[in-house]
Formats: sequence, C-alpha cells, structure tokens
Amino acid sequence: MKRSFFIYAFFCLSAGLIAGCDSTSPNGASDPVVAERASDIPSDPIIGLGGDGRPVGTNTFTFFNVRTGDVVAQTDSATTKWDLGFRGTTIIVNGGTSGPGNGAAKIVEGVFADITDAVADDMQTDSESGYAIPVGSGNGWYNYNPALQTVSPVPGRVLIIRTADGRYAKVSIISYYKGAPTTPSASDEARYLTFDYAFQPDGSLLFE
Amino acid sequence: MSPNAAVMFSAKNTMRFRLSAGTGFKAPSFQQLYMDFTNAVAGYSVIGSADAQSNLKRLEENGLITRYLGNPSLLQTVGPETAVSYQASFDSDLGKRVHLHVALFHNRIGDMIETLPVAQKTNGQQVFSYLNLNRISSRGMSFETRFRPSDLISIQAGYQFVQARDLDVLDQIAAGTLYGRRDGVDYLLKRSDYGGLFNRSKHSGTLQLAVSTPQGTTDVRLRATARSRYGFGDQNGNLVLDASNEYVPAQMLWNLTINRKLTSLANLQVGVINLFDRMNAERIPSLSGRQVFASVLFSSE
Repeated sequence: MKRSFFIYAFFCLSAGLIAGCDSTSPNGASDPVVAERASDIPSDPIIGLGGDGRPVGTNTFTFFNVRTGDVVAQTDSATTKWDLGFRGTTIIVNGGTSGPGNGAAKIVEGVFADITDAVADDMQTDSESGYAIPVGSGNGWYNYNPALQTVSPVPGRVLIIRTADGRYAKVSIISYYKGAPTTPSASDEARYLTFDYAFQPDGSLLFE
Repeated sequence: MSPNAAVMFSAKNTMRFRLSAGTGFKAPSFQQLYMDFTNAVAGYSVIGSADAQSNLKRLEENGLITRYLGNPSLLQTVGPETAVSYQASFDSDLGKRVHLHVALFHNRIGDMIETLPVAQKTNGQQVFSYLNLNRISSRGMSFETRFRPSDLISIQAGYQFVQARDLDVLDQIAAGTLYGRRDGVDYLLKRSDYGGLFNRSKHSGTLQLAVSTPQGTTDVRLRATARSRYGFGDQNGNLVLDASNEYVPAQMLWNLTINRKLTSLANLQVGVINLFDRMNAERIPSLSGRQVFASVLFSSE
C-alpha cells in the first residue's frame, strides 16, 4: 500500500507559544494531525460475471482501521478493530447494524485540508433504515455518470467518521478505480478506493 | 401567449439594423408526459413524467429495479419550457461584392426539459424520465461575410461566439457550494473554472471558397468547419464542465468537392470529405477518417 504523508502547517513562532506546542497540553494544540493517503483499497472487486451476465464480486466488505491505517482481516468483522468497511460504492461504519463498535458518520461540505474543526452534531449510525453514508448517486460520496458509466467521488464532500472506539477522523474519497486514474473510463478496474484520511487520536474533532 | 416585437432601421438600402425581443413557450411533448417504452433489444426503459411514479412502482413490484438514481418522489409532471430572447443584428452591402452580417443575441430558457436516468434496472440498463431542470443562459455574437472578388470566385466566412451556461450552476458557484478536484485535491470552483454546457463550443466558424470556370462547366468548392474544444461529460464528480480532461479538443475539418458538367444531362462529382484525415475514435466515434468519393448524376428534363 502506497502512502504519502502531508503534515499540516504547524508553527510555533514565539517562546510564548512554545507551551502550546507541548503535545501533552490538554487544551492547546496537540501533535499535528497527519493526513495520509490509502491507495487502491479493494472494495469487493469484480471476480467474474453472474448468472445474468453482470459483473459480480464476492459480496464481502474490506475492513479498514483509520487509527492504524491497516486493512483488517475478514475474520475480525465482529470486533472493534475496524472503522470503515468498503463493498462497491457502499461504505459502512463500525456501529449500529453494521458492527459492535461506537462508529458513526456524516458528510460535510468543504475542502478536505480546510476542515479543521468539525462538530459531532448529526452524526448518523448505520441502521435498518439506511447507512450513515447514504448509497446512491449524488446522495453520498459519489456521482454516477450514466453516459460514461463511471463512478466519481463528489469533490467537496468530506466524511466525518467516528471510529469504533469513539474517536474521530475525516476522510475524502479520491477515486473508485485502480491506480486512481484522473480520467477514469468504464474499462478501468473498478472497486478500488483511494482516499485521504486524517485521524485525531485525542478524541476531539480538531484536525489541525 | 408568446409576444414578440421587432424594429428595423434602414439606410440607403445598403444597411439594415434590426432589434427584436420575444418570448417563447414550449409545451412538453406527448412522450415527455405519457411515454411508457422499453427497448426490447437494449433493455432500457423510458417513462413519461406524468405517470413516472406509478410506472416506477410497477417496475419495482415486478422486481426490475435494483436502485433509484436520486429521489423518485421528486418526479412530477413536467411543465412547459419558457424562453426570453433578445437579438440585435446589422446587415450591410459594401458595393455589389461584399455583404456583412453581425448579430448579438441573448436567450434565457427556463425549466428546460431534460432526459435523465432515474433508476437502474436489474438487467444493468436504466430507466429514463423527464424533468424540468435547468435555467440556461445563452449569449453571444455571430459574424458572417460573403465576398465575391470576381464573378467566378466566392468566399464566405462565418464565426460564432456563444457562451451557454446553466444559471443554477452559476448560483451554486456564487454561493460557494460547488467544488472541483485536480490531482486528488478538492477546491472551490470559481466562475472562470466553469466551461458552460456540455457539447457546446465557445467558438465555431466556417470558411468556404468556391471557384468556377468561365464557361460554368466546372466548379471547385473548398469548405472548412472549425470548433473550439467542448465538454463531453463530467470526470471529477461535480457533474459540471470544469476540468481539462472533460473536453474534446478543438477540431477543424476540410472538405473538397469538384463538380463537372459532362453533358447537359450528366454531372460528375468527385471529392474528399475530411481532407486531413482527422479522427477521434474515443470521443467522436461518428467522425470517420478521410473519405474519397465520386458520383455521376444523370438527370432527365
């Protein structure tokens, strides 16, 4: 898995501010939140054609831990070791009807890097009536282009995620295709997610 | 009711200046309202807007729908399209050999009826219906000239500039709720990033040169059509034309035809379409390469 690291600007300009740089300080800035990129995470890739000739996968989720940045084994699906599950265009959180954790999510509008202080209001959890991250073109994180038959993440939509252990991360989906091509076509290998994410370990929603 | 008004000023019979304004109204067609059609070969369906809800419900009850694209309860009977247009034009004859035509225009269309996929079927195809969607503004200018340096030579040139934009998109940009993505990084879309409606070139033009022999038995015609880049579809998920990879590059096509009168009843025509063999298999599959043709046409009087 390829990762690139972006560290948000974090300056300590004067001696008076040095105290605020102490990572143990409870209400000052803690360690800067690091944004990472997860590339080509399989999201139930196509393995063949079904009885009706349509492409099918194995219909299973890939589980991802945003705290460690690791893909979690399928056998750990009933644990709190994962925060996000991917299957096609469906994204689940580890909470509600989807998992045993405290997971929840909501979608906010903005530029990923500029979302520095989110609020925990309106966080949704997966339930019988629907997923916290709604499915369907235009409803959640992507738009489907019927002319080109491609799935494109909607720019300016950021997922605020509550992790299985009740902390927070922000996620921006970049691509649905292997290798994250800038001009995807229907012939590209679909169901591989590339996304940026930033996890705030201190339990707050300050992504600075 | 569609009121229209026009005034024209003339000077010395060689110049005409015309101003017009009008409103238009286009009622939805029968099929936009009541169509219920499934293509037996391809498997897609088109349903009229008036019965969209009940037809979708029926398809769903028959187990033919995998998912809805958007909210089906927003579908309702489409209303008419409305238009307001303004035009100013100027025509002038400079002697016998030159004619000029310049026009400025501005059209606004409201509630444009668009075809949109509304649901995905189990066979992988889609269900389409009609919606009153956009407010469109289309404005620009056109310029045309005909020049006959001699009785045997004629040159025609035309140029058009059009800016066709979706006013709802401009509103979203002004409100700061529309984003783009470049190299995996999102940014707020600016007005200048917006490329207007898909499939519309900002600049387009034609050039034609025609030469005939004094006896009038042969004429040669060279014609060029050009258009600037235009959008073919969204690539970065915001559904509007903004990124450079959403455009088909500018193109210019040349055609050459030669007509020769063989006898009083037979005409020979030879020519080349797409002289410089321009092709774009991916984005313009309909554009075949260079084609050479010859035909003899017999006529009886």
